[in-house]
Amino acid sequence: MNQEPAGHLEQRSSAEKNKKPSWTSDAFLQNPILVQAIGLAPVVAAATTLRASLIISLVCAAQLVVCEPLAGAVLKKLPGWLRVAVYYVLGLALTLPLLYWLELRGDVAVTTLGLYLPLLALNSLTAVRCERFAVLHTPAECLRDALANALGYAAVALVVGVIRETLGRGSIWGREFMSMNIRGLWMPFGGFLLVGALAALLKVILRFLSERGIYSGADEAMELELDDRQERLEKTQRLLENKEPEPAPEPEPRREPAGESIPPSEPEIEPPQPLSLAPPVPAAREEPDAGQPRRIPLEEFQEMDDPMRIFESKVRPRIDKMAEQNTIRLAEIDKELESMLERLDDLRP
Amino acid sequence: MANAMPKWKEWISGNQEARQWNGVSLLMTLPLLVMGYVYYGGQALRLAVISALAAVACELVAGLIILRRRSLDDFNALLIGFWIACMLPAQISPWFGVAGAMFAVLAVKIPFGGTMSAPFVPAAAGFAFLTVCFPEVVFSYAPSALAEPIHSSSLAALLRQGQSVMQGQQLSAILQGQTVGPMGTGSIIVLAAVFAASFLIKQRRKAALSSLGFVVTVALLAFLLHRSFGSRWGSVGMELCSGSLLFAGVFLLPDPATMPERWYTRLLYGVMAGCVTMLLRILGSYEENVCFAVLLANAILPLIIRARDEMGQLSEFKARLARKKEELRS
Repeated sequence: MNQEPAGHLEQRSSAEKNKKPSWTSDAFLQNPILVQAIGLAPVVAAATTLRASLIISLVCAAQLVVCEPLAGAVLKKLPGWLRVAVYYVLGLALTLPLLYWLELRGDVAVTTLGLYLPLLALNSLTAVRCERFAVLHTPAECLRDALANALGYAAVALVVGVIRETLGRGSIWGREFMSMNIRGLWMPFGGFLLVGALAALLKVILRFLSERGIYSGADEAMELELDDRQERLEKTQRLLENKEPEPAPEPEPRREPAGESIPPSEPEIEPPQPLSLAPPVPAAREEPDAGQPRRIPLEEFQEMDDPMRIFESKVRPRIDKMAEQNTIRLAEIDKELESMLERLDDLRP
Repeated sequence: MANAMPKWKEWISGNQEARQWNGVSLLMTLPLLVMGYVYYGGQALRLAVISALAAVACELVAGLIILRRRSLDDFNALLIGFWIACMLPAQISPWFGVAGAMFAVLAVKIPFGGTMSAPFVPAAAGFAFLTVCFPEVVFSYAPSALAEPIHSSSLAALLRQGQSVMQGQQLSAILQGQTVGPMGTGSIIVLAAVFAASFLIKQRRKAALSSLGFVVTVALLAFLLHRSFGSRWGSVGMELCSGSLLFAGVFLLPDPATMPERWYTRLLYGVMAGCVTMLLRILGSYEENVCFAVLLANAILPLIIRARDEMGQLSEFKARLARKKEELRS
């Protein structure tokens, strides 16, 4: 089990620690369902009516409002592996009485929600928000973050519920007002399509507002992410600067195997580096007066997110390098084979 | 500018491959629509035209908004509308055709980049959507006005009940399309003629391999796992003639966007779709499952191609190593 060492919370980036709860960012811009895709299963599978969506939203809100301030006040002193278990126990303590009460009433929502109502006790949104935000902030900030996330979650769940009930059953809150019966919308695939369409719509709206300068929320989110990346870059650079450069070993004269031509100026084999799709961050030491790490401008940062650019600048050179290294490795294998065969010949009587 | 392209040429300049393919497909579809008109009258034609217009309108609007380019010139939207209509009952409300065409274009085709980029066959996805959402309507077929059908139920429904009708005169009636079934996919003779005519085109000859693999696999499995109480050959005939199976084999399966390049992968693609079709026919809950089989084959195909590529690279590396060893030994 993953046991975090003491003082693990200090290791989190200061961008995470300095992040302030924001209604627009948490509820709208970084919507838990449409942007972060957290807590998707109940909405996609069970939010088929307005009533069911309301129950899902309320349970989720109750869990967030209880767990997040508690995590911010007390639970952050516990080790990480224990905290997650505590979130789920708290979730169960909040959800099971509601389930019992609904079953006593013979509520139709129990049938509609089915298995997903007890499963809501293990809501991933609660665990994620507590671990990402609550353990690094004060209880008051946690409460605000919980309310903002619950609002964002509820907004999407209710919209999905209303659309699925209206088009899927021709009713609202159980009251039929038109003869409409699109069965596909009751099914999870209908939920996925609807959530996907809403996510696309949110992206279009944000882009539209951002282009016209009406709303700068997208830029704010970008700035936050930029801060985070900038900080990671600085940390990496500090690590690189503190590391003592090892003396390069004398290169041994390489004997070329037969049939394989390797130019003498071939670079030494480096250990293969894992491929990373992270956007290339220009090194600060390229700057002539690089006393401080260079602050990446927003436009450059946005350009860095272009996948083709990332591929051309970051991934393709790595692939080429790996292919080259494999050729050299093949030559080395041949060399070893040759020496083994020679030894074998020597051993022969 | 001296070399400026005329406006009309700009409209049809791109997408040459897709336009050529879909143009031939459109010509191949027209006889089916004519047969639908002959058997079911104007309502069949109205359904086809409205579905096609809906697909074209969706493609025009969504293409300009999402893809930011005109993508109508490859006739794919027209085909989607016609194909969905062909698989529906003739007496159905045209709104169902519109819903299927809208789903195919807006949810399956345009978001993935258009005709040559869609990972699934849009018409198959549109019909699958209608099957899931309105199964009662999609499979309630009306008899033809012109020729009295030999049975009141469709062949697929009869097969589910284990009945066999492939005997004597009934066989010729079935091959002519005098059955209760979808609007444009019942006439087996026309479908076979269209398929045979497609062999005249080189591109189509290559694509036919997947269709042949599909039909042969279905026939083989129908022979082995016969569902009707009659003879095994009768079961094979009924399986092949029922629903939209042959139509899917001729039109939906060989889609240029989803078709693999190598001949053996094409064959495997057809065989896989055939196996899934028969499995779904035996175990599935809907009367016609061939569209789900095509979609599943579309989903599994990239995995097969990737596995083939990786195996190819590995074998190449091994061969190279073995060559080196031999060289060193010698």
